[in-house]
Amino acid sequence: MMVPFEAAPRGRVIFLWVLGALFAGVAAAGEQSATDQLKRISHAMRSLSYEGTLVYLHDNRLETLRVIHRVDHGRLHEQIVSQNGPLRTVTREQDQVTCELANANPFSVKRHGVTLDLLRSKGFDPKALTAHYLIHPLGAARIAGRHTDVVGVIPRDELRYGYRFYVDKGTGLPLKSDLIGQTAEPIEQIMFTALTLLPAGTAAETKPEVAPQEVAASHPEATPEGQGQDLWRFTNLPAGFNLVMRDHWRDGARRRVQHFVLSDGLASVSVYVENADPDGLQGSTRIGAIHAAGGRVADHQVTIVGEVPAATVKAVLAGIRYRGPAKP
Amino acid sequence: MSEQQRQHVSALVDGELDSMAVHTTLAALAASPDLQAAWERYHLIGNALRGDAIHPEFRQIADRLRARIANEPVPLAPAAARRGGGPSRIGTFLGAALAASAAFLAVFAVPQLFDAGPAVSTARTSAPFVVLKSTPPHLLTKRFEVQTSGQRWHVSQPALENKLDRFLVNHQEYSPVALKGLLPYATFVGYETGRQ
Repeated sequence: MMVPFEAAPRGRVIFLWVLGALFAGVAAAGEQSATDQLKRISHAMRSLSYEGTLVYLHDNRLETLRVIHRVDHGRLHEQIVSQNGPLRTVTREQDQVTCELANANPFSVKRHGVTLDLLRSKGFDPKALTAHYLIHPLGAARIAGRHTDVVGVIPRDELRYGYRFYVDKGTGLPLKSDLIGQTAEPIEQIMFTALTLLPAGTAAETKPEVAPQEVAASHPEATPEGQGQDLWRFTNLPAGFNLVMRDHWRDGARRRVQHFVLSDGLASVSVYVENADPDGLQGSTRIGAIHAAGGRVADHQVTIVGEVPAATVKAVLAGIRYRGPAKP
Repeated sequence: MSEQQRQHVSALVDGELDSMAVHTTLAALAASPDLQAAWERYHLIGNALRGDAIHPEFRQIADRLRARIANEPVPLAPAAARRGGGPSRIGTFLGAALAASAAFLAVFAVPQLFDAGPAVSTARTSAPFVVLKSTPPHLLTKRFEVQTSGQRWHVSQPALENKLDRFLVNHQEYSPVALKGLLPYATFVGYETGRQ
């Protein structure tokens, strides 16, 4: 049989194209699956009610935590209580977080719902992360007696942490989360050892036991990024970080604090600006994987806090510029 | 030895010391026998917790090197011999400097240069062990004391610590995504420092 001159090569080209498309489709399906898992986590954390016991591993130390998380008609009630050492609790209500820590007075932080709603209404878009993270499926594992899919959120540089989530196949809850540092080793790990799903119910069990003595109240004029007076500028930000929110509030009854949030879509840092403060942070410090850096900028105290490597908070601090009038 | 210095040494052992604090911590470490003892203790504890072989080279390394250099026969240079028969102060300082440099290299650089992975399992090797029989009981019990709470932010000012707590809680509330789930608050509630 005569074969047209270009038929065979064209056939091979078409075959290869179909094969390539097939592989691309499979790869895309895998990638889509991983990003879908992240969406499932985000949705499950906001919609499901559960209680359980967690273990938290950091710095060769093992802690046990008890968590109650209820979503009642869209309103969040959550309490996390340490089961080892001094009693420490965090109680989250819809518009307030109350903390009881060892060797410190209980305090509450009020939130302005409009700002929070605006931030969260933007939703979670895993595709927006791909410039700075590789989102990839990492197989399956069994955690707390349940089957999970493992998803890696792998940073493309050393300015942000990576994550490994073990996503419950049934509910979408992250039953285990690993925070991965620059050496690809876990810095912190948290894992459910027991989990009970609850029907959405009342929040009576999550009320803080001690009345907070100190309140940091949010200001009603909290605004998303792009509005309001702009006296502070952020230059040379770490790649991917943008200003997503600004706010101001009073720290107790004393000091006015300006609050800016910078984020790459997953990692975020807060920038706090206040008048010069003898108790302000000079230099850098950390708690676990959360780093803080502080210093004086134009006679203001500037403090950066975020769950990012030390180099990132230092870079943010170094890039802050004041554009307002000089202080008398 | 202040609490902060002790924590900095601990962070240095863990490779987590902020780079800005490395210089001052090394200087304090060189000057303080207490800190040097803490340095040794933290390595021993770390090795024990990880189930690694206990490396005797971390024990009193500066003293051992200094003693070894002192015992080495030193050929006298003719010029030095002409200047007098007493011991040369320059030589003394040079010996101390060499000991310090060698100690620094042995502790910081050499293990990293030749780190070929975790220490070999101790059961089937002839790796030497530190004999603790001569260690006073109160030091032995110290190594096994229950760890208690310390400064959460590695700062010594309570006002600053409280302020950073408030800033952190505020920050967590404005985190744009709920993806990280309980990790942020687990850090906050579960984190206890205070390695002894």
